[in-house]
Amino acid sequence: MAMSVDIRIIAGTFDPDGESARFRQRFAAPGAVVAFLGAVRGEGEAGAVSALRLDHYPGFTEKEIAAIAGKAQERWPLLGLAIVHRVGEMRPGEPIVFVAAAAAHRRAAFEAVDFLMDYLKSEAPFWKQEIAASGARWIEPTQKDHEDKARWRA
Amino acid sequence: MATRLLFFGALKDAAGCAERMVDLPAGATTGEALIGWLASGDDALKAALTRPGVRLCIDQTIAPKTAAIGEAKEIAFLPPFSGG
Repeated sequence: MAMSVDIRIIAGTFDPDGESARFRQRFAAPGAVVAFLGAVRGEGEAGAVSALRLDHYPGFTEKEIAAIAGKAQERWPLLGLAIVHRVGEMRPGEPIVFVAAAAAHRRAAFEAVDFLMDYLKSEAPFWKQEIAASGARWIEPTQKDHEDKARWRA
Repeated sequence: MATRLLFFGALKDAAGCAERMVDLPAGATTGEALIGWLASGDDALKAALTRPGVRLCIDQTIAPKTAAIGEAKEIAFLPPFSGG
């Protein structure tokens, strides 16, 4: 069965509620829809964060995210997926990433979104800089991110 | 033939640019050889490019640093990713 997968990298912002509503409307009667929103926190390692800057590798980043989405499809019985990820500069309180999954039952939808977020944090080709009063700092995945990802190795 | 080199994340700072067009010398046939040529005389750049976790991407496919560059049009140096 062909599954509906929507992957978008966007400069500029997105409306999380709009994305959520549009995602749900793609399906006739899914038993479960799980939507996750990642947003910019106000406090980073270096104190108050004034902005995040996210770079990507156009073409390659989309290809790698599609591969991660393919892994989720193989692993869980899903009706559809959406991944929307911003790049460029963004401020505390603003959305960064939206991930949603639709399935017949909730376990697949919850796990697929959790899995995709763990991979997006450390396996998707983005590079994040935290901008604070002390300057700009490139972020690298934490031990926690690696541990989170390791949960999915069966 | 000119090859496009791309530097991402903190490597942009180390390389002094995000992108460069170069004519690869005859000896730069692998990732390792390319790094040796690019970073010759620049220990800081060499350290940055050879750091564990930095990956080579040849025509938008990740490759080990020992891989042959061949006729690649685009070679990218990717530090560890941080998304989400």
